[in-house]
Parts: sequence; structure tokens; C-alpha cells
Amino acid sequence: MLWQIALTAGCYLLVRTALGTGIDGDEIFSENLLVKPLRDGKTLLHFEFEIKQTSTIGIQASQHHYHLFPRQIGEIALQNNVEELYLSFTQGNWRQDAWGYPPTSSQGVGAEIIARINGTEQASLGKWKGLTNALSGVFCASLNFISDENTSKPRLMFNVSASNSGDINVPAHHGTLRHGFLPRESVCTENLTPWIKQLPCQAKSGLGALLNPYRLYNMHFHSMGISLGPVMDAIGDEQEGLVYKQHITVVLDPRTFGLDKSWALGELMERDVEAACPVSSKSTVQVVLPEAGVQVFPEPARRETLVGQNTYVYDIQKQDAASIRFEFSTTDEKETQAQLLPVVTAHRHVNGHGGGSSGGVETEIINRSNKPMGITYFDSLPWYLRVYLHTLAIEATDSDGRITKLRPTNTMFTPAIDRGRPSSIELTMTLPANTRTALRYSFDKGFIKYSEHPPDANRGFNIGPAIISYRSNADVNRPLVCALQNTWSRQQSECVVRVYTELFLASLPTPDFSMPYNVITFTCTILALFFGRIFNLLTRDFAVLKDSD
Amino acid sequence: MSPQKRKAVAAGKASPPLTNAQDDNGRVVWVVALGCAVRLCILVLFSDIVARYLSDQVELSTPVTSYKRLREGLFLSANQIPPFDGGIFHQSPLLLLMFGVLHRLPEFFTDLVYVAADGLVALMLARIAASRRARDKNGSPLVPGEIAFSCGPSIVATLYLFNPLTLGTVLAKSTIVFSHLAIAAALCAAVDGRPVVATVWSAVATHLSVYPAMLLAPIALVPPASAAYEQNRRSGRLAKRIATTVAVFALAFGAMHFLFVAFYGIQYFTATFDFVLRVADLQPNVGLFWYFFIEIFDEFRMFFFVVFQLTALAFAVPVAWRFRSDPLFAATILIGIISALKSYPSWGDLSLFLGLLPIFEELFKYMQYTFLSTNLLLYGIGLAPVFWHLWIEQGSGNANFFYAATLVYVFGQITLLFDLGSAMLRRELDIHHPETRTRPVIQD
Repeated sequence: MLWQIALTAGCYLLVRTALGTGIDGDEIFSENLLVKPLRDGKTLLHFEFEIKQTSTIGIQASQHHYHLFPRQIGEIALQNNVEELYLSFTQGNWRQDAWGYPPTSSQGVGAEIIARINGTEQASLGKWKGLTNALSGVFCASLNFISDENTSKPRLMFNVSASNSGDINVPAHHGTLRHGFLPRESVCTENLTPWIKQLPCQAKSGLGALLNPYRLYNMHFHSMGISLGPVMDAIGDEQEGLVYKQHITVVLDPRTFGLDKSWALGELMERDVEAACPVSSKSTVQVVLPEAGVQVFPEPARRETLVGQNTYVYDIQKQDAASIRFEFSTTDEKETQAQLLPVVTAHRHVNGHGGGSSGGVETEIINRSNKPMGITYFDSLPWYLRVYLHTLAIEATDSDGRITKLRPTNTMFTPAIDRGRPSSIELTMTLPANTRTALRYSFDKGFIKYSEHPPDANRGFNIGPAIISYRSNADVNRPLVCALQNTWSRQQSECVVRVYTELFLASLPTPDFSMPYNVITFTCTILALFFGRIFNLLTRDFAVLKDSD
Repeated sequence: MSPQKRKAVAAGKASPPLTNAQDDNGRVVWVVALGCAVRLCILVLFSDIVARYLSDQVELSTPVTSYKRLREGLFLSANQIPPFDGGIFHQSPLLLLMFGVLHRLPEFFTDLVYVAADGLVALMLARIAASRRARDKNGSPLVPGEIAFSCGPSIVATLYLFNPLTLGTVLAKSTIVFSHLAIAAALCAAVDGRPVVATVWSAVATHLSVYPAMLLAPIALVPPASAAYEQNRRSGRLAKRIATTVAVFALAFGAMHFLFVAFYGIQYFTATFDFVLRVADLQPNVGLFWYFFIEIFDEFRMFFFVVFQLTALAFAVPVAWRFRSDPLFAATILIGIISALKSYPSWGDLSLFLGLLPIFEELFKYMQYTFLSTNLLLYGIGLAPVFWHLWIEQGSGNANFFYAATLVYVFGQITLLFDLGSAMLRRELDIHHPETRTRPVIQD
């Protein structure tokens, strides 16, 4: 009798545990969708899925029990001694001047991996290669092309914790930080599918159900990524535990899909959300509304203020996400004050004409605030663009047209080694208030081997973006990244914002690909002529002809 | 020359009056001063035109001699970044030292140093011509009936200084002028009969650009000043001279090299010496190597760079031995070979060779392919910038155009070399067997 009661109780506990209530042991899963109609009629959607695990001592302890936390990522991180990891795939330019602050730090077109690996530089090199290759397999992306030639080790730029880039500056870690960038990598459904598989509820329930690749890739901007790092508390100390975040940011134009004045979220994504995700502890949709012109139905669970704008917050465990409806009314242009421009924006382009054997990089950084801003600038050019740092010139033009020369407060330059490593420039400087700063330096284009040119040689090489980071402690016009951090962690006073510039194409002078054999033949002929003639000179003597004339 | 003088000189009895030599010295000084003045004027007055059109010409500056890369190396070392730890700077630390000091002074002093170096090279070439002429008058065997004149030193200096190739090289501030200075000093010391000094200078020249190591072979065969002109056949003394030369060279070069390796690390060796030998940077120049190593398949790369470098370097000893009666001529031929076949040649190398040529004016009448080699060189030099512009700036040509101009240029140099060598051999035959002057001869 007793054993029957015990068995029943045991079964009940087992079932109860298996079903879960969202907080299973010590893993907390939360998901959030931020919807923001933008000024030019497009819509920003930012999905965030976070799994916080508070039991183990960081990644270093072996985890034998994976429940919500994806096992792939955990094992890869453990095997390669990863302390922090940040991976993103981005396509499209984030138009800073039209859309305001981005909700994510990853705006650089292509694939970007930032990882802090435990150990010295030499010891962690093998782990870095293992990490990139393993992630390449997990996400079906060609991350295995990240090698010494496109990996740099920035020392100033990512000093903060890479995964929680909104947090206060964390003191120096004991690992080696590496930054790898593939500017030509494109992102598609093939990468989305394994990403969705890592979600606890995948695409079956909860906000994951809205992820429709047909809509997600028909977009103006798309960024998909993961980040893995330790749990941080308010003062920036590492606590026990891990945070694994997955994010998708996409800017869609509803008019592309035939939706104009009124549409629901389900119509926009062409998906229905059948059920809420049972293992999520918090499932919300935040809708950031401009001052006028947009109305949202139904009434939200609560209202709050995010980045100075009205925000409706819906609880998806009670409300169907797909039925949130947006109504647009024609407005007069009163909403110009709705979207304030970001405090610091940057654009980069290449000087010199398209062909040519030399050129220059020019970055324009605009500081719109009324006080000087300290920024960190990081640019990494591949080895075949030979950078001449002595040509670096920084000039700031203020609103009256006066030009002043700036000097960086700190410069870290690593020259490129041919086929070994890229060059990397890091500068910290203070931009004066209300100025446009032009930073330029020149490079010579190198001549690369026949086999090193890509198949479409005349297209040229994509050159990865420059990154500018600054600290923001604004209350008004707060960067969206910082505001989103506050959703999960305590109120921060200062956070680090990153701005990425555009790519450019560097077309290197090409040899003639159709005649390697001819070249070898001609050159060896000349060499043989030389050899033969000099040899004749050395071994033959003049002799008089015996015939009498 | 007046008919009386002509007869007197032909009879071998007259010696030139002393005033002629003094006049000539005066003329040399005037010529050198004028050449330096012209260079300084252009550098100071037209510096932006020079910077726009000449500084980036690949025919004039190469990755191992480029002034822009030197400035980058200076910048790196001024900012505590190791200058050899990258793919930009491949030149000698001696230049870093010298220019580190010069860059604190106004730009004019850098220009002055380049112009002075060029002027010194011209002076040394004139001195070589003068001492050779003096030696010739002291009983050098002449071919009977030959109107014995050798090129005046002032003419040698003029032809060197006002050669457009030399002018272009100095205006582009290519650092090959310092290597030429060391080579000219080595030759000057050798002709004066001081082989030890010549060896030290050639060690400096080897340090600055790798190939003048070949000049060790003719310098080793230079008879010391006290000996008579006739070759000293006693092999003991010859072996002793060769051993001394090699030892002094090894000491000088080794000392410099190990000092710099100790200071900069093994990257110094990889960035300078090894870089030149394995042609790491494939920037186009007027040589054969760049396009070949762009197009060659990776499996054969090592084999071919060994072949190319051997072809360039292996002729040092054979050429020196063949022309052992005239080591200066052997050195000239070797300088010509360097100019044609080094891994990063430029027009400056050819200008040194052409500067040494007028010293052997007596050979010009024996040369058979003058028209061909002149034309080839003119075509190669004239068309290379045009084809570069078509390929790179305009985009309507492709690399083959420039490559073809390069081939023509190198072939012209090879023809000139071969012609010069066979002219010397023919003249030697005439000297030793004067009766064959009018008989047809063949090469056997």
C-alpha cells in the first residue's frame, strides 16, 4: 500500500517536473518582440529569446543536463574554452539617418564572430579555429573561411563584455578576444533553420511561430545572431550562470506584401500563433508607437515608456500575438519630431577611382550632441590593401565651417602581414560637439597571385565595415540597445553603443587569367636567351677563319 | 684634337699635358654642380608635380626602394611599432637611422641628401674614368693604329647625371641611389687598388640591396696598388687575395647583419633579405619576376624562384674569371646582369650600368647590335608608363601590355650585355694578336 502511494507520488512529481512551469530547475526562458513602425512606412521587428541559467559556474563547468539550453552551443563553448561569444549574420544597411537607433549592435553586413577565449594568444588560436569551424557546421554557414587573414585582435574596441554590450565596462578578462568578419557572407533560410531549432519552442508555439522565412528575407535589413556570456549583475561582476540570447532584427515594408493601411502581425508575417510557449517564463510584445498616425488594437496589458516613446506591452501568454492590429492614418508631417536622429552616426567610403593601384579610406563621423563625445574607432583592412598610417588625417568641421585637426588620444595599430593577418587600426578620440569629423588614410592595392583572385575577379573584394563605439548615458533619445538591455537587467546609467559603417568594394588590378602558360613560356625564353648568350661569351673564344680572303 | 697631337698620341710617345687633367677636373666639378643644381631646383620648385607623377611610378620605385614605404617605416618605428613586423617596410635600418634624423629637419635637407648622393656617384664615376685613363696612358697595350682615347671623366659624369633615368630615380627619391653610392665607392676603391676598402663598401651595398654581393668576385681579382698591371699568375697570391676578400666581406656583412637581427629580431631577416630572395610582394616592376610569380602555379613556385635567383647570381664567378684582366669590366657586366635579372629592378639600376658604359668607349666600335639594343631599350622605357596607364588608370588595356614592354626592356639589356662582352673579347683578341684586325674571325 505504502509503495503504491510512493509510486503515485513519484509519478506525479515526475510528470510535474516534465511538464515544467517555465522555470525548470534554474533555467529561465523569456522571449520578447519589439515592433516599431518607422518614419518612412517600414516596420522594425526585433525578436529576442533569452535563456538564463543560474546554477553552474560559467561555461567552464561541464553541464551534463541540458534542458532548454541548446546542447550544441553548450558543448562547442565548453570544448573551445569560450568565455564569451557573439555571432551575427547581417544583410542590408541600417539607415541611421532614417530609422534612428538600431535595436541590435550587429549592423555590419556579413558574418561577424567576436569571441573571448580563455588562454594566451598562442594557446587560444587552435580553439578559435575549432570554434569557427564548429559554428560553421551548426549554422550551415561558411564560417570556416575565417582564418588568420580575416581575424583581428582588437584591444580597445570590445573591452566591454561582448554579449551584454549594454553593460558597464567590465575589467580586463584573462582571455584573448578575437574578431572575425566575413563581409561577403550572405544569410538565408539555411542559416535560419538551425537557429530556430535552438529555440525551446522552435517554430511551434510562442513568438517563434511568427518566424516565416518568406517574410524575413524579403526585407530591407536583416540581422540574426546569438550571444553567449556570463550573467552580469548591476556593478558588472560576473555571477554564476550563463545567458544565451538569440535575436532576429528585421526591417520590413508592409507595402511589399500588399498591406497598406491596416494589418495585423499575423498578416504581416503570414503566420498564426496557435499557442503560447509553455516553457517561457515571460513572453511579451512591445509596440513602440510614434506620436501620431498609428493606432494599435487591442488594448495592451500595460503601457510604459521606452526611449521616450509610448510603448504598449502585450503578454502573449494571454493575448494572441498574431492578432495585434495596426491602423495607419495619414498624418501631416508633425511626426518629424518623433524620431530623433542618433547622437553619433558614421559613414565610410573609399577614395580614388575604381581601378587604380591606390586609394584611400574616408570615414565621416557626425556628433550631434552638444557636448564632446569620446569614441573608439576600429577599422580592419585585409593585407592586400597596404595601409600607410603616416597618411592618417583627422579633421573636424563644426557648424560654422571651421576646420580643426584632431589628434587621437590613444592609437593602436597592428600592421598587416602578407597572407598572415589583416591590418587593424584602433583609435580613441574625443569628437567636439556638433561637428562632422572626417578621418582618412590611404592605402596601396597589392597584387595578389593568380589563384588568390575570387572567381569573379573584376567584382573585387568586399571590405568589412569600420566600427565606432561610444558610451551613452542619455535619458532622452536613449539608444534602443540600451533600453532593451534594461528590460532584462537592472537600470543601467551608461551603456556602450556600436555604430557600423558601410562596406566598400576594392577591386584589385587583375592579371590576364587566360595565359599562365604563355607567361611562363615567354619569361623562360628570355631567361634562356640570357643564359645561352652569356654562356657563349664565357666559354667560346674568337678564332681566325682559316680561309684566305 | 689637332693633327699634330693625334700623330703624337698615336705614336705612343706623347703624354697628355698636365693642364688637360686639371681642366678636366674643373669640368667635372662644373658638371656635377650643374647636375645637382638642376635636381635641387626641380625638387624644390616642382615638388607637387614630382609627387603627383613620379613618386608612384612603379618603374622608378619598388617595394624595396620606395620612399613612401620608408616614411611608413619611420612612422612605425617612431611610434614603437616594430617596423619589420609587417608587409610594408623592407629596407635597411641604416636608412631608418639616417632618415629619422633628417625628418626632424625641413624637407629641403632630405632633398639635399638625395642630390648629394647622386652627385657623389657621378664624382666617383668620373674618378674611375680618370684613373682608368691614367692607367691607359701608362703603357696599357693598345691596338696599333687605334686612336687612343678613352672617355673623359667629365663626359662620364655628364652622361650619368643628365640621363633621364637617373634624374627620374632621384626625383622619385628611390633609395637605390644609396646602394649605387656604395657600389660606386666599392668600384672606385677597387680601381685605386685598395681591395679591402672596396670589400667593405660592397658589404654595405649588399646590405642595402642584396645583389651587389656578386661584385665580390671581380673585387677579389683586383691587383693591389703596388703590383704591376700584368696579371699576377702566382696562384698563392691569388688565393690569398680571394681568401682575404671573402673574410673581410663575411666579417663586415656578418657584423652588420647580426647587429640588426639582435636589435629587431628575426623579422628583420624575413622582411629584407628573405623578402628579396623569395619575391614575396608581387608589385609590378620593370623586371621579369612579378608576372611570372603571379601566374605560376603554387606547386612550382619554390622551384622557379630558385631557378631565377640562381640564373642571376651564378654568373658572378665565371664572368669575373673570364674578364680577369679587367676587373672593372667584369664588374660592369655584373652590374648589367643585376639590373636585368634582380627581383625588384627599376630604371635606376639601368642608369648605373649606362653610367659605367662610357668608360669603355674603346669597345663601342666593336659592338654589333647597337641599333637593336638601343631600340629595344627605348621602346621598353618609352612604352612601359603608357601601358601602365592603360592597364591601371584607364582600364582599357590589360596586364599583358605592360608585361610585353617589360620583356622588351629586359631583352634589350641582355642584348647590350652580350654585345659588350663579345666586344671586349674581340678587342682582347686584337690586343694579343694585332695582325688579326683585318681578318674575319668567328667564335669557336
